[in-house]
Amino acid sequence: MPAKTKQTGSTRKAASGIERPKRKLTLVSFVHRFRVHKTAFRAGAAFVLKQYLLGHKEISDAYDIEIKIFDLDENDEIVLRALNRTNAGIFGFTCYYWTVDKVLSVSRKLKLIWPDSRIIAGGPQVSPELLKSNKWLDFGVVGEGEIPLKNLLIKINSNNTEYKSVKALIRRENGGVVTNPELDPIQDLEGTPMLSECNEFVEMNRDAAENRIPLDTSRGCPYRCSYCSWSWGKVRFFSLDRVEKAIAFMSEGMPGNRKYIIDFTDAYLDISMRRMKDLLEMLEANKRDNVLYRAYFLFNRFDAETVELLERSNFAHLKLGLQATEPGVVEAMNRKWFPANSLDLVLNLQDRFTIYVDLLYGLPGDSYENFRDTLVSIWKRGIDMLCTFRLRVLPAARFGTESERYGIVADPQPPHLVYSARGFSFDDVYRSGRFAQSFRALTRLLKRDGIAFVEKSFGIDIVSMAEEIHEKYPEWDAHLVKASEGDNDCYCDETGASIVFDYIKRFGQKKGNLSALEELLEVRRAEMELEGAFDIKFSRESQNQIADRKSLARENIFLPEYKKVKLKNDIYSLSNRKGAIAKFESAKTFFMMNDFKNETVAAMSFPSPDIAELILRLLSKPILANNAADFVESNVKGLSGKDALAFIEMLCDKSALLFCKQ
Amino acid sequence: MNRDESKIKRVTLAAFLAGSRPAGGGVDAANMLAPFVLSTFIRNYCKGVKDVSVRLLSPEISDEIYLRRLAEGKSDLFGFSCYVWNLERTLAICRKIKLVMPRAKIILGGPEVNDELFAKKILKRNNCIDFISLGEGEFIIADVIDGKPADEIESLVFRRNGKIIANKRRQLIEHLDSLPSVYDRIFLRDYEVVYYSTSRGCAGRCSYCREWSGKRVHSMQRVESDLKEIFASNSLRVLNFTDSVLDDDPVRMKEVLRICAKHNKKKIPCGGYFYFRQVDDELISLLKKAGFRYLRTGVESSGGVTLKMVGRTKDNVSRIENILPFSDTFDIVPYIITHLPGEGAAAFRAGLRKCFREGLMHGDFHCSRLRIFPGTRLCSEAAKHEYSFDQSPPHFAYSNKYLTPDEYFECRQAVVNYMIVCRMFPKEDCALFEKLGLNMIAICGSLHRKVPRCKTDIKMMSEDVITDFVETDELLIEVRDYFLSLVPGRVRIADDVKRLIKLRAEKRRRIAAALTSN
Repeated sequence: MPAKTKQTGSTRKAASGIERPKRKLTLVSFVHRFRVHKTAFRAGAAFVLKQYLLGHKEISDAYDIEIKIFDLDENDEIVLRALNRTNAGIFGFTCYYWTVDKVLSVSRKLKLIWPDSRIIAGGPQVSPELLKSNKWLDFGVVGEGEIPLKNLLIKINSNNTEYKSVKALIRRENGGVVTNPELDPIQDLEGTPMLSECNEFVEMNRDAAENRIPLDTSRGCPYRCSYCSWSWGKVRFFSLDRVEKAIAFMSEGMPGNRKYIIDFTDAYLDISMRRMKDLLEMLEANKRDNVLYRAYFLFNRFDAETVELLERSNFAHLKLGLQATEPGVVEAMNRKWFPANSLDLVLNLQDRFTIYVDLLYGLPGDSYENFRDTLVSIWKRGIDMLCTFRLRVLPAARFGTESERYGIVADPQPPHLVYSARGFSFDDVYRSGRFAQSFRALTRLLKRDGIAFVEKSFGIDIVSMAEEIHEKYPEWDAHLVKASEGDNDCYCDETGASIVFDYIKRFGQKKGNLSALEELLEVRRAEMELEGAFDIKFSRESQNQIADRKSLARENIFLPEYKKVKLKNDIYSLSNRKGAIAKFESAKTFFMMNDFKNETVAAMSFPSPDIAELILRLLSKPILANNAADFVESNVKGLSGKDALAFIEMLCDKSALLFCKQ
Repeated sequence: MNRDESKIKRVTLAAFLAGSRPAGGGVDAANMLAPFVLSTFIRNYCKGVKDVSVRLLSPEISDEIYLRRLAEGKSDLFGFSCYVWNLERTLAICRKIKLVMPRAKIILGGPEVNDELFAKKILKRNNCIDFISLGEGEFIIADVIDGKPADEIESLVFRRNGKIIANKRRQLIEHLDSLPSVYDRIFLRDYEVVYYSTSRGCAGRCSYCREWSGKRVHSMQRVESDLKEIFASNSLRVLNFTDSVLDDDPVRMKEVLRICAKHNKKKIPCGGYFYFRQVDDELISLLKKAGFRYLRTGVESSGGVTLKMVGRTKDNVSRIENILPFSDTFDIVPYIITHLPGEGAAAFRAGLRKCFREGLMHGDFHCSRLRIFPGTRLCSEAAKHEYSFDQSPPHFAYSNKYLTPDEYFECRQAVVNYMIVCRMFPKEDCALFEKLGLNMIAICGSLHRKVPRCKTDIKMMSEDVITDFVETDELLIEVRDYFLSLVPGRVRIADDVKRLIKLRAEKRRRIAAALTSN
């Protein structure tokens, strides 16, 4: 297929000597909440492929490769218009279970607009069935995509339509779908780029709003858990020299005042103890104070020296993929190999590291009660970061292929959630999810000393409270601010806190000191909001909507009426309560949402003199005791819009922090 | 069969709302009337049913939360109203309902599944769906609830032994007055914007439209009793008439307007669709008295040939020019469609220019992309016009032999440019610029090349329709500066800035209203 459109810039010399424009390959990825995070964390495949392909002369001579990342919730038409500008003939899409629906709808429309474009699908969701039921997909690539994609692109470039010899390719032939023979995983990773070697990718993540950067030092996992389809046999390692170089590049451009967490994507870092020790020594040598590390471990072969080394090399978070503890369930998961004592081992490391424990619910043979008790018992032993996930029954995993054996009813379509399993009814699945979220929100709000307090003086059992609260208060769920629907990472908002207050007041066995409780909740809420405000993961209701609203707010475009009213109430309530640091956040939003341009605070920024007065009162809290009103006026007057905004932001943040310390 | 013995005792009727409107209790949720109409009918007609509940679902909330709520009702039958914006979401939740409640039956209805072939395709691909009702659903769903054998229910598509069968279509409901009214005090209490139709169906035969049932009307007595109830509601802020078009029968329209005038004591603003074939003083005064404010009209295209090709002849073509002289009194809302057959980029731009000259783009303006619905005449003629279109919702046309995709993107940008300029400068300003020697139309058409922000600094309220948008300050300032650079020294900047600020305030109010979703 000759490229129809003229490309500016790069051209190549064909064998005949006539200059032909380069073909264009666009690799498209969809990332959940890209608009907010601006991180390519989950679009790594495209970068690795680009790096790999450009490393081969026959590809780099013939193709321009471009990566396009979109928000998963972006409207199709906007995506199409953006792709139009690249004028590409060949499109590659990465299909994960969370993106495949979007990929299908965008690629369908893409083919309608440019019928002569070619669409290649890759990623874990690609199967012959996918091509059979979606006739606009031209090719599918199974497994690791580097080699098949390279071979396919070479064929396409030479107008050779004999695709039979391209291994690991799903293609169309005579109206049918044919799967070529499989390709073994790449054994020697020497010629394959590490994700962290892709500069574009690293830079993008380094500058992103979220401070997590992935680092892959190996590929594959030796274990075959029943819920996982990522079992490509042997683990293959990248050489430590390359890892060292990648880390050096990564930390080069990092501003020293920003904290970064480098997330190892390896299955378990301690599969090979010797290699891990070498790696840790290398990390220690390259140590930087603002860069912390996080990884999954098995823990069973840890000794005192390893722990020392981990600490010295700036490891902050250790993760344990426990999933479930019931022996029957562990067997069903095909995880009998998992060291049974790792939980005990990791609990001993609590005072030196932050420990994360992962649990699954909806597993066959498990039950709601079991799940709840496991969760609570681990929490009682001191772990706060309990991450729970609903089982996803991936079609290629054993739970998917043998679902009847395990009594599993699951969605055959993405996101493949489980609806019931042996021992787990739908109601139990639902209750587990709610319990895990409520428990997380409550423990996050009250904290351990608060829970001890309500237990002692109100006779409240935190477990039954977490179980009952969403039954007793149907609106409770709406006041949980969630990182995503899938896991239990959440906290409750202000109304949620008042629901907690009401619950303790109404259902407590004893009559405790209510004003002490009120004070406790106030302070905790404010602390949390402050944490949450700095944590990009969270935002209320639909993340997109909020992202849009916030960006609109920044652009000073509107101030919805209801917000005004709410804000007014907020500020009123602040003036007669203490400990409401969170209100500064509201104030900040308020300032951001108002037009600051070339106007003084007193005259124009406030919709009414009432609010102006209140804001000034707000700002004249003890922290800014020395005549705050004058202070603000004299400092904001004469500043340009942007500076005024920055000033107010600074003011709010600073005062909030000061308050926190007191 | 004895009706009391039927197995279906509990029925849930549900529908996903469009866009980001909140479910249940949202001020605008009343535009989703179908579930209410059906539930009212079932309550009156099916004696064996114990409970009929209506659930309006918001696309913002996850299926998992809805599933639990739906499962609590222990319904035997779920009915979903399918529209172009919600079919995919509806199919997804139906699939999950079947996983959780394997015994419950699911029936789909609504305009999106009105075509027999399309309905069969849906049943074939989605095992979770048991029935699809074609056309008006009242008697079909009632028969299903009453346990009538599936092959005896007209207009029902169903599955038997793995085969998909479509029964013959049933007659349209001739006597609309025999259907119970949904507009009671309890229903109206929840809604600020109410939608009301005095008729069903449409007499026009436009080739792209699937509303191809004959036009049937409610009696004047019924219209009067409904409107009386509606205008008595304290919550009411806007009343929209959803009749396909109000003035195809001018005599009847005037009667409806008189009833409105009689009961609309609070002068609630009303809106409706019109042809404006005949505009006289009596009509204008009646419209004013009745409280009409939003006059919508389907201009669709400015090309006579195109209009003829899509079946809009003298009987069903909009005569917007008749109402334009009154554009100060009413908000005239023209509806334009792109990708119509026979209309290339040049013709489309010509139409836009006309709209711009008439000042139509200064108000509410709707430019939507053609959708080719299965079963329409245009769908069968698609090959003739070399249409490339989406067979699945939202059924958009992407190109045809008159308009390439790239031309469309350019045209779309031109519409956006025009609207930015209209937002920036009122009609008088545009006239002044022309007087100063600027060719406004040429400038608007290529504005995005001079001010690249026109492409990036803008967020449409909806991607399906070009109607309202939010833009950044920088964009407006750059557009202003660009125009000022074209007429140096002749326009006073101070005035301009003042106007900009005023504009901001007004826009804020409007957007706040549009986004006040909770």
